[in-house]
Amino acid sequence: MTQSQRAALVGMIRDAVGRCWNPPQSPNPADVRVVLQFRLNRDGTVQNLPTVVERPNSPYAAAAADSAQRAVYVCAPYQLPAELYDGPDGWQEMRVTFDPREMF
Amino acid sequence: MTAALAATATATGIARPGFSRTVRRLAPIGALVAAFFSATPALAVLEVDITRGNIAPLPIAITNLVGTGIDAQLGADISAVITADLRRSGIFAPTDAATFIQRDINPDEAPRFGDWRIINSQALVTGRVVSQPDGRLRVEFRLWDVFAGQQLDGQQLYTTPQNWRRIAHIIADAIYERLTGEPGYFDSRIVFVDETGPREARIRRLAIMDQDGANLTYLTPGGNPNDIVLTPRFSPNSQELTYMVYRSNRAPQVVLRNIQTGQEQLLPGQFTGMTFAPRFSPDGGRVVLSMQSGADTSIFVLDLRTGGQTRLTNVPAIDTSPSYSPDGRQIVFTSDRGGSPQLYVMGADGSNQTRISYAGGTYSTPVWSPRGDLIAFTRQMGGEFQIGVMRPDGSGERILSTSTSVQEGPTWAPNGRVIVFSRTDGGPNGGPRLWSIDLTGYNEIMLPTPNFASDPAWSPLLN
Repeated sequence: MTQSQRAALVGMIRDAVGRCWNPPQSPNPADVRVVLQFRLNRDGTVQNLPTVVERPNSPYAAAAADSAQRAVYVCAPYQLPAELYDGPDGWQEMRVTFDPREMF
Repeated sequence: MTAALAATATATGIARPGFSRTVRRLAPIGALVAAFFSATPALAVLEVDITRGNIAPLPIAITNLVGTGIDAQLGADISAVITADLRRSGIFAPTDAATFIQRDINPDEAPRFGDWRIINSQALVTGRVVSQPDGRLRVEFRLWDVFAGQQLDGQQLYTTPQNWRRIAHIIADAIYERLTGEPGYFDSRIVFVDETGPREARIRRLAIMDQDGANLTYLTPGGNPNDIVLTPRFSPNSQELTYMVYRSNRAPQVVLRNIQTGQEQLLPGQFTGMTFAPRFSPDGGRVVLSMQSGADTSIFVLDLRTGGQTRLTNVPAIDTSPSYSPDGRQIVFTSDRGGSPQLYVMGADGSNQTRISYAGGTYSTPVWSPRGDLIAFTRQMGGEFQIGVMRPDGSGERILSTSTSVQEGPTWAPNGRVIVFSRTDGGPNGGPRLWSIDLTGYNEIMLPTPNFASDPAWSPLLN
């Protein structure tokens, strides 16, 4: 995968998942920062419940993790370039950081 | 007539006899198989950083709590109140019940998530109502994440049947908190001044209602237009009020009132001048207020136990509308010492009086958020009346609502996310109404009151 292919792929995923992400509205973005890891099937459906790799130490933790998981499901199935599914940096498995630092 | 109303209301609406609530967590149904990822990511995993989302009301399906006989109707009524609370918040979009596919809800089983995904509900509420042999109600609910296919919350509550609306508000608060990460505000009440009659002879009665407008009760008879009630404020435990009364042309006085017993009493201690604009301290042990003496008005704090008074401001000016920070360490107030009414903050002992409003125009009726992070105020500029917020150091000023009609007197929801204020529309038949607006500046809606209404004050959470 070339650098530009990779950048384009990341941009597509960012737009597709961000569109469905409805984060809790905390005054402090770090309060709702969540990292998820999950796998997609070739048809763009979600293979398993996204694992919460990092969650904030705040009262928003549960709501933030749920909102990120919902975003992954609600916007599926994803239409991504089939040739970039496998291999290093393919979209078969990804780790997504949800951090609303440009929102509030 | 008004006295009878007040008496009836005290017996049923306010005292809420026999209220008790027991909450028990319900164990999750159908727990999912644990995800199989290890904590360490593989090297090849694609990393994506999302920094923007899309704020939109969350689609949530609220099914009627099931029950047999009269419990079924009660279940439907409770669900209707939950639905109305969540919809009014602007944060949720309750799904139209006519679109529901799964109709056979079994509260002991996981729902058919696919049926709820098809109609785009992201969250789902199910539950039941069961009358108990002792006359109480057992109300259960479960909150589901439809797409993840998991239970987010489940509770069992017991109460007396007449408290069914409170149970609905408590459930709505639990749903709000689980999905937003912030405490709710639905199990709370609003006290205000009800206004009837022609403008030149208004009858003003102290009234209290649930935050959704239900269970309206009059606390004072108000048969005489010369009896004026102003600025009611809740004590921290929601059981007492302090307000100013102006009865039949006698000197205005600040009084205390026990909501449950209806007993009204003067503040302890002697004041040498007219007192007004009272507010409780966050610990409930003191009242801060204004006292007029000659051309000047100063802020005093009164110890409710001893009756001892302490003067906090002492300048040739009108200092009024004091409001404590939630930690009790500071007070925000209005003063015209600089030439026009502006906002000032001082220590609770009167130290370090510092002006914080500088954006032009005049400022009044400041009130500190229960979260401590913001101060709401009324600002008047260029013929417009604005409701806004700023940080306690004066930075970050934001205007939430602007109108050419008089609007004033903001009060905070217990969670610090919503503000209620009064707006007086002009015209020969005009009068004040209560409006609420989100801290985001969106979702401006009028509160249902039977008559004109002014001077709102929102209670803390009741539970």
